[in-house]
Amino acid sequence: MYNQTAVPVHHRQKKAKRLMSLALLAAALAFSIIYVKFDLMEFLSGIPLFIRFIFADFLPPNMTNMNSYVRPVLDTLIFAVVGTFISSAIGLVIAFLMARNTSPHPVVRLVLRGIVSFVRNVPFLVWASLLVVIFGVGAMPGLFALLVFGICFLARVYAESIEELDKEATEALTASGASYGQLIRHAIIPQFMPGYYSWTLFMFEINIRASAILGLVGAGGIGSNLKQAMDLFQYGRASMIIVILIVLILAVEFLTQKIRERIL
Amino acid sequence: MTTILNIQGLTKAYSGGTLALTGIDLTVESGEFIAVIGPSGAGKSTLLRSINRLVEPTDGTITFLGEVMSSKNKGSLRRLRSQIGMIFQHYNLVNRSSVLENVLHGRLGYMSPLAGVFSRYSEADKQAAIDLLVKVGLANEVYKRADELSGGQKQRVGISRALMQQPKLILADEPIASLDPKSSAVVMDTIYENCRLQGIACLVNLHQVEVAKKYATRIIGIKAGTKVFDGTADQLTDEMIFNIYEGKEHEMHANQAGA
Repeated sequence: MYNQTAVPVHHRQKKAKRLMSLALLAAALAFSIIYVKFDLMEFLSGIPLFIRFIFADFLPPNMTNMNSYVRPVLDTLIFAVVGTFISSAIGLVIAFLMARNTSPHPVVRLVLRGIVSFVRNVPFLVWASLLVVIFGVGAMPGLFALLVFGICFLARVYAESIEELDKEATEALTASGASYGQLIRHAIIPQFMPGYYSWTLFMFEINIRASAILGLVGAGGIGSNLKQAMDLFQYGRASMIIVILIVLILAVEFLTQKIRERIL
Repeated sequence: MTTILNIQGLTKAYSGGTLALTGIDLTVESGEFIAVIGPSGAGKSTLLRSINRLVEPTDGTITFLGEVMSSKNKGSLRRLRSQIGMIFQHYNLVNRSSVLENVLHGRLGYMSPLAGVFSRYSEADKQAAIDLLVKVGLANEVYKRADELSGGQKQRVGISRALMQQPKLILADEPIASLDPKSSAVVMDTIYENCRLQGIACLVNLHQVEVAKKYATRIIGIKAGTKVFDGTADQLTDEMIFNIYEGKEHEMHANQAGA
């Protein structure tokens, strides 16, 4: 195996493999371009049109009637707060039931893991569209979509944080005769707090961003106003909403960053 | 002398086939300070952890204060565990909780599950915990977070937590393996004096033979999961030591700072 020729032979094989992979990739790319009839010229000639659209129609943002934006911004914030609180509370309970080191029974763990990964694997927008069909156009399906997605997202990341905690403290408390509830309260929760805060704040940021998208499928939030403005060709209003969204997201990120620095 | 602990035919095979312990018999009388020596991987840690069922033995019986330890009955296991203090190589403190809270954790086994969850420690317990911390020289660290302490200090918190249980038996698993020589001396003295004073029987895993000889009233030698020596420090001849550490001779004088 390790005679003198082994090394060059091995090397040549590796090289052949690499060339093969490159050839396959190139073939896949070529096929895709032909299949979708990708036309580079069309794309390039579209750029001036796009720029004209941005500067002539979209800009400047329509600053009149600013009061009409207050309500959707408030809605968005309130949905994010409510969504984060509720999904954090329910997600936390599920996380403790499904984390390997805190689950009361392996069957509970498996069932919950299955449900959570199923819900998470259906994209967020699909949930929102389904819920709009069920509950009708409005704010409620948006909030429900945030909750369905948020609960499962948080349950998963909380559970992973709990599983990553070191087992030493838990071992010591088990050895001293602590009960299951005492273990969770005194060994798991204190160590889990940084992860908990961190993920919950992240969830809040996600919820703010999500509300921009939710509107596109008619599920409320500031996204509804954006879609409405676009549909009515009121591009000035649309760009104003986008500006507000960017400011909102930056403000929330700044705020959560400050909170993180404070408590972690 | 009353028998605190009686181990009969203790065997442990880990899933994967590793045989950690093969039929260990051991009796611990009240007030004994027993050092368990042996090279790493000999099964010392498994032996200690099998006693309070942190590790579920494959075979054998363990009788503690006349009651058979079993994982079947959660309530009785909890009650028996609460009377066995344990000290760990890596201290095993809850790092983000205060030193005082860590010591009070020693009382959880005696409290109702709910009272424990809501940290309703009695005033007497709180006072006892502070007294213990003063006694081990941590009077100024009571309200600090556990992760602010040095290794030696953390281990003294670990000892206080074990003593807080008012145990009949203390299991110390390599308590000084992660400490420098000076801290090691303080920690061993603290364990030894408290056990002697309160008549607590103690089983301590060590891999430094010198330390074992200095403190132990009895020494147990473990080699490849089997008890190969059981006697006083004087009876432990150099020949026997070489036999115990056969093939791993460099470990018997492993300096305390290493690990």
